[in-house]
Amino acid sequence: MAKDKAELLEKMAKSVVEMDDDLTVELAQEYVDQQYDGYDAINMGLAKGMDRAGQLYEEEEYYIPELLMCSDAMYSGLEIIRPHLKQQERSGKSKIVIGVVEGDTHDIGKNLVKIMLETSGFDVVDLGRDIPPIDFVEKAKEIHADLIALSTLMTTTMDGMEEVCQILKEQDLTERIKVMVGGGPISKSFADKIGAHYSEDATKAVKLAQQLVKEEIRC
Amino acid sequence: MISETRVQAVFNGKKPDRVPVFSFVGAYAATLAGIPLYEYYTNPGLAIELQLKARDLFGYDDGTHYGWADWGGWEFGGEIAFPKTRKEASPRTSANVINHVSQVDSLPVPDPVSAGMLPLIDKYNRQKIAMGEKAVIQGGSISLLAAGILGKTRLLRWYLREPSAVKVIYDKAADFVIAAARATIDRYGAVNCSVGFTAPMDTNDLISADIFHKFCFPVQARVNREIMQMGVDKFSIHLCGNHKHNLKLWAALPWPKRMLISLGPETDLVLAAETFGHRHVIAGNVSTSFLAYGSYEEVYNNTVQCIETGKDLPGGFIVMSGCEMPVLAPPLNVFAMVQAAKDVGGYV
Repeated sequence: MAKDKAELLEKMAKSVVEMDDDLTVELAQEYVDQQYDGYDAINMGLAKGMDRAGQLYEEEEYYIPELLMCSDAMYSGLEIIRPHLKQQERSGKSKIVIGVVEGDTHDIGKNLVKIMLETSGFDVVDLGRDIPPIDFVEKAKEIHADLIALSTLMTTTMDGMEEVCQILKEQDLTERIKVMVGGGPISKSFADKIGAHYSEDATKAVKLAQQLVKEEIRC
Repeated sequence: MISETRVQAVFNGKKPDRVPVFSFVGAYAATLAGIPLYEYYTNPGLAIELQLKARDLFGYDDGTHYGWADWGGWEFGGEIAFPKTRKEASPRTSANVINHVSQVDSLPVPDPVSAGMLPLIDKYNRQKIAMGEKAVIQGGSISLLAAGILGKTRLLRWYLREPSAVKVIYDKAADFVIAAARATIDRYGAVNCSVGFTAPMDTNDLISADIFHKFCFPVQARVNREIMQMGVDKFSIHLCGNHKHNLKLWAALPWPKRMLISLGPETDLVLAAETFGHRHVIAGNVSTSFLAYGSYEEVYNNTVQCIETGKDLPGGFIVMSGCEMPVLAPPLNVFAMVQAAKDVGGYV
């Protein structure tokens, strides 16, 4: 028997939280077959599930393995939904360039932040890891990004974050492009020192990004 | 007191003149000398020489270190990349070994003498023995090797997606660590060996205590038990990152009566000491973020805070960098740790 839209959305959110790829795909397909709105499937189904997973992470019920599994389920559903999004629903989002700074190849944290940002409605361009500072700025200029999000796990590469902020200052872009930083050795005092904004973890990164875009806090 | 007697006093359960300082200087010594990290990591004799000079320069109390955390991948047939720049800091696995679950069962346990970093470690050990010090055995954690074999993200996924395969990998990694320990002990004698552990992959920043208990705990218990049965009783463990939920499990592993437990700034010194039952020497946990990018005053004040927290722990205390000294740390920040210990670390 066909499920109604609200029921499908709730079940999709639940299947993401419960890390069930197969069920998420099945529900997403049923949702698409019913010709319900694709944007709602993401916002009120898949992203809602990811948001709940993020809350569980904050409450130390979930850890990184669980979040990775939830994101796998979320992306499985997204693959089904994405072709059915109307064009206007895919544009007009705030844009973020994300990556791990040069010299560092640890990308678990960056990937989580990327997932959480995407599911929260940001258009995220992932440059990957071991990225030179200038590349962040060039990409941000090219795509007219609102934010640059930088991650590192190593103390030796923290100065790459400072360099990104410095380049933005030199190019007079700090009014247009804000910088947020995170990772194991990063602290608020370090972020303040280099003129960036600090996020403690992936879920807080989303809140910070939303705040930065909304309130126009500058790097 | 000189450094040796100061540290010895702590391990003997006595109060030294002041709290000892362990700077955890490794490759930082190469930075001080203006020598590329590649040379440091591929020449253990040079690594020892530079660290001893750095110790003379700053006046801290620890000995030398050698090795790197990202191991297991190279040893099991993957590839290693030595740092080309100071930013890269330490060698890292550049190609993992296992890409598909079908490869797991046929994964061979490597040779315990010639695999990966072991010949370099043995060069280091030969020189340490010649200096009248102990040879080192890499004891784990086994999660580090599993991450090197699989890749960190794949390991984290497979804990839930392919748990049986992960258990096989942990068992093989443990077999390898035990065999390498046996080879070192056969060469130098158990009494001349010490075992070091570091555990960045087991931190609660990444995994739950349940996952640690399910995968790492049983094999690490086997490794510890077997190495102790071979006659080694000098152990040290570095709990890198946040281990607050794992502490009871770490404490429940087989350990000798007394060892060094060093902590990152994310784990509480007093909680760790209490959980391990106040038997062991606790070391920590000056922020590496401050050491790398803070001011002299920030490092000094943070060190004072650590000393005030740990100084009177019943098992003994050493103030120490929360992880290996960042290679970009300003030299005065290293000195700030020593100065703080001299100023406020004295025992009356």
